[in-house]
Amino acid sequence: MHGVMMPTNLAGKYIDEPEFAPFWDALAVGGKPLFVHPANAPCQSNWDKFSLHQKILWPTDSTLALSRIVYAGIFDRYPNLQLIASHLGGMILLYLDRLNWREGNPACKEEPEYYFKKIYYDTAGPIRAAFIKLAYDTVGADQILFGADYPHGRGGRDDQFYPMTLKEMKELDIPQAEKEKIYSLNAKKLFGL
Amino acid sequence: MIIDTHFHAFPGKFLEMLPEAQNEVRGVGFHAFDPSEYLNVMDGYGIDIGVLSNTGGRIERSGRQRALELCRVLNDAFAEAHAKYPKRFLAFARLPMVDMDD
Repeated sequence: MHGVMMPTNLAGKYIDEPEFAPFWDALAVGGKPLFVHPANAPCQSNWDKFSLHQKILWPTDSTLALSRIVYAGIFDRYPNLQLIASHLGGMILLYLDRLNWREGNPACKEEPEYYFKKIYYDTAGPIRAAFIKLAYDTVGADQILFGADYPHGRGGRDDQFYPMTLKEMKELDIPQAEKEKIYSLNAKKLFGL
Repeated sequence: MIIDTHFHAFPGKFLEMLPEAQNEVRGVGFHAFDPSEYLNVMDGYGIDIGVLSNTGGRIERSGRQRALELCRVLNDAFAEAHAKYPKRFLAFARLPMVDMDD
């Protein structure tokens, strides 16, 4: 196995809670990446109407889970943690200045933004080139991974997200050498290929 | 070269353990994982490597034995795909994270 996947919450519990300390210890020993992927959340019932849970609760739960990991100081305890966020991290990169607020006594030593910039963000969504560009301008090409969420297509096709994601990557206006990092070079490094 | 790090599959044995998955609304890809079918799709779009993962199964809402069995079925199927096509499939493991406070 080349990494570990965790849902954004584990039956309603978030993985920054103290009871999951043995998991973080083991992950650090293994030295493999952690992919945090959305799951149904405790507050879900209000989001089920119009199937909004799958559309927007899941990226929101990524925002919550990743923020809690940052604020809990997990990166201070495990500075080599390789953390992968689904769907460009939900709202994180849109709201970095807000996420830097100190209310609520974050346990992390540095400004939260410092840790958010250590996270890897995948392009699954589907999301548009402008959003990938925002991620590129904010965290740089080194922190972005190509992802397309196969086989969760729509419209009766399970491969629909590939043409959508590839089209947006093609339209993304950044140097080709930077694009290659997103397509494969970052993943090669992460998985030791 | 393209590596898809957000890439899911549903092994047949795993789906058999999850009757509720048959009623999912999330698209059409919910049939048993067939590596050769996946490779055809990947080849069609120029995807060199897919990093397999699956977040389903309500593993954390299961009892200890079932959580363990679901993880084992999933991880074994992904490990098998990697063993057969080491240059095309990598995989993220699931862990049975239940009863952590005991």
